[in-house]
Amino acid sequence: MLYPQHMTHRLLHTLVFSSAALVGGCGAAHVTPTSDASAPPDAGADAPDVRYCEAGWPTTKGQFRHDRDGVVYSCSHPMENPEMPDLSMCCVIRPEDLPENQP
Amino acid sequence: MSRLDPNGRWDGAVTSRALPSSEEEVASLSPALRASLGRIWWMQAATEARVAHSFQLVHASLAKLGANEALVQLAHRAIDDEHRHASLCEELTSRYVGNALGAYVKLPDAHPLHATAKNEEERAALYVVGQCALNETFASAYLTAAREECTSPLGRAALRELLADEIDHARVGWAYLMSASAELRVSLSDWILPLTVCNLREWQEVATQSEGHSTGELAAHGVPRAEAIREALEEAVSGVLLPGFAHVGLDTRAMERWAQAGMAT
Repeated sequence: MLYPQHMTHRLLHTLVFSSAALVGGCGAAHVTPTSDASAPPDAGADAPDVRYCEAGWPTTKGQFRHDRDGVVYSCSHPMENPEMPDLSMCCVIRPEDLPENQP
Repeated sequence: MSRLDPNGRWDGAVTSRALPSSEEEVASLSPALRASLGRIWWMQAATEARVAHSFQLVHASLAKLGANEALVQLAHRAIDDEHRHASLCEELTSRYVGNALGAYVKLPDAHPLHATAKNEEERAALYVVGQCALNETFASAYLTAAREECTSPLGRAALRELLADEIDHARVGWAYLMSASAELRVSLSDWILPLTVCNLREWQEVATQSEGHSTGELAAHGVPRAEAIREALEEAVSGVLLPGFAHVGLDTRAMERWAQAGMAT
């Protein structure tokens, strides 16, 4: 079961197949599972699984800078929004700039 | 003082080759577009630098696992790679808006804790798989999509530099999986779906937050449209992660059912 319908994604070859060379081999042999009884559970199949609630690894994209009233914010929203309606998406990146922290 | 390692990938240089001259290109852009691009690259400098911390963890994890020395060394180099990326993003910022935004800021470090991992070995393996095989594969898919839409010589050159490194970083994870013990692969099979769901959620957020601002104009300069990001992520799951995990001997049946049901996160 090697997903022939998707075997043409160029990154599959670049990232997966060619990486065997890094460890001096030709790749792991696929192990066909013996029965459905051993299959990993589906997401949320039984009790809630806390593993699905974790944050993933931070990405290298998707943060944007906002300036407002001399305070610089790091936000997950890209547009300058003078009303800043949802500050929960932003964090202040220089707390010393906040008015309450001014001498 | 430079943050870059003189023994890094390009002997302390930020890029493999000089970025193209961009004065004419940048001068032809509207002030608003220059400002947007400057802000985007300024923030990406901060997020790239944050990922250097992720690779410190990956490097320590591979060493703890007794992984192949070539992988340990690649993970060590990746720490410097991410600092180079931050410097590259600073350079792009400077090209668009000069030094108006100042140096990028340090964002808080963050990474999954995997509190329910069976033991330290499993947790270390999860760090390698999560950051390299998953996060860097999604990053490679994102950058590939970005480059396909990008017509700016400066943008294409920057994306090429980033992509070349992200590919190496992802390969660390895939190569590790190929060399992991059969026992560890069994336990990782139970984790690949939650790892994928959580990481995909992070990347989908990038697309969601791009909605409303993503334009053909930005895309032409290397900031992909939300729709292109979503498509690249879904194709990465079905075209790279699923066959990749199967190829390295993990049980992908639950993940396959999840993908066929719409990849809910």
